[in-house]
Amino acid sequence: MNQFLILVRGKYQMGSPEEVQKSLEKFGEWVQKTLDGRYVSGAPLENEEARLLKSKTEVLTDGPFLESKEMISGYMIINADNVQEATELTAKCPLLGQYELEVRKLKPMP
Amino acid sequence: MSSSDQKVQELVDHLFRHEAGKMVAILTRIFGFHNLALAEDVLQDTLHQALKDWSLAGIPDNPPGWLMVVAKRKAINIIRREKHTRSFASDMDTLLKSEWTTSYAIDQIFLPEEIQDSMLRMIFTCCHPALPIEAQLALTLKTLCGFSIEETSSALLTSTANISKRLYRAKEKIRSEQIDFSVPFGSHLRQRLDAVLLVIYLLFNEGYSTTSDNPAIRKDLCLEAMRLAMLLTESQTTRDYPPVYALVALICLHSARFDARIDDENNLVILEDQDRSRWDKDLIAEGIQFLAQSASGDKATTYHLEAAIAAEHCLAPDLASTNWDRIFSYYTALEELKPSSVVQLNLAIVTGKKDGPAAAIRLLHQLETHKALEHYYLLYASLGEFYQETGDGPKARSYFQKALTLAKTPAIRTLLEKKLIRHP
Repeated sequence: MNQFLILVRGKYQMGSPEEVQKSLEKFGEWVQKTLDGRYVSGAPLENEEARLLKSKTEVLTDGPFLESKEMISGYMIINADNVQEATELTAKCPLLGQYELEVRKLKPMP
Repeated sequence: MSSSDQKVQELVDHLFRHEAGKMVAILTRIFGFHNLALAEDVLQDTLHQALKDWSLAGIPDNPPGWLMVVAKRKAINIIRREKHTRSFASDMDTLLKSEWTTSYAIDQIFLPEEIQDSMLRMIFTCCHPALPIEAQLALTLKTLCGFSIEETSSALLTSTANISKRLYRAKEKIRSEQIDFSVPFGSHLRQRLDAVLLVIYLLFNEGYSTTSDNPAIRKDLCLEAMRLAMLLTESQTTRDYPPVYALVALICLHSARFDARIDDENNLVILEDQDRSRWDKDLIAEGIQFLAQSASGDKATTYHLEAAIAAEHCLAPDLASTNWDRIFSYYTALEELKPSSVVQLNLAIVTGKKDGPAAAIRLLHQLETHKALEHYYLLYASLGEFYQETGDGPKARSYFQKALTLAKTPAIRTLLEKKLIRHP
């Protein structure tokens, strides 16, 4: 079993209140039914208060630092056997469509 | 958060849609109607933050409260950022320009007792008689009921391009005519309230009497109409007006039969075939209660009469015990108040129930010359029905067939086809 980091990227697409509510309800279903115990953790990120440290003295404070399209606005960690499985599971995540999701394998330490 | 405490909490049905209506009203109260688009942006922003945060961190204990706090914070940020370049609602503008008063002024508007006031202002603005009625309907659904352009177009059975055009022109008109974002008072109030009631009535009718491929949106329309009407019964400004209760009664009494009149295959079930045990008894009781409350005025409106007719149907334990005499008298009064071919058609049908098919057939044939009914399937379906009763099978069949060629929706066509099979 490996762990995968899913980065939630990008600015949202427009959607109606009802659609947003449906996505949210589907997210709960995705965690319960699709991931079925493989959800490890996750959190949204604050976009306003970001710091980029380039060195001990060079600290950039007026983030966010990337194009809003690439901005990371949250992350999840899930368990999966391999990157194929992690991708299949992520492809069913209802945040897709509203956000882009990047799947990264956490390097297992020997 | 671990998977075990990932709370899967149920959200209240349509929570986002309803909170959207409230938030846009409050934000418009602050920003001014000329900044409606800005209010809608803040709403979008808030909803999407909710989607992301609630997905990843769990649903908060008080979802509506969370949404309001976030929307308020976003509003304050916008005002701080743009107060020198943008003008806000005229009665708020001075307060918002100063850092000392901004938070206080906005806190006041977000108070629970002020939310209703903002909603009322929005209702009266969207249902302003200076706007064409189609625009009033679209604007009400879009801003007050949180419908998207797609949902609005599906609800009003027209294209999205059409709805966008209507909304654009309506907003332009509100701006150019300088229509106030306010609740009318004094002698204007009742007249403006009548316009609001009409919009709610039409929205309900649109949802109730048309059937389309999208039954979910029809029901949503009915629910939204009920919600708006209820709001009027709760506000001190509007709740002393008897027609408000008559309209709510009408909506409750019809809605009670909503599920029973559509079968599992989305086909219409006519009144006599409806399983009366499936009627919603609580809604009927509520409707009767509202109807009683509506009886305080000095004049009966069409809402009163239509609600009274619906009440007669709802209270009859079966079709045979329907009090057709009383229904006839209500339709007669309705015909005096709002003369229309459709009411006359109903009068003819009720006459048939009361005095037998021959009397109905005579009246229905007279109506055949009415321009408004010429292409109305119900006239011919009724003729078929009453000829069937007299035992004239071939005539009945030919009228059912004529009705079938005029029926506009699949649900009604299926219903008529069933009749043709039933009476071969």
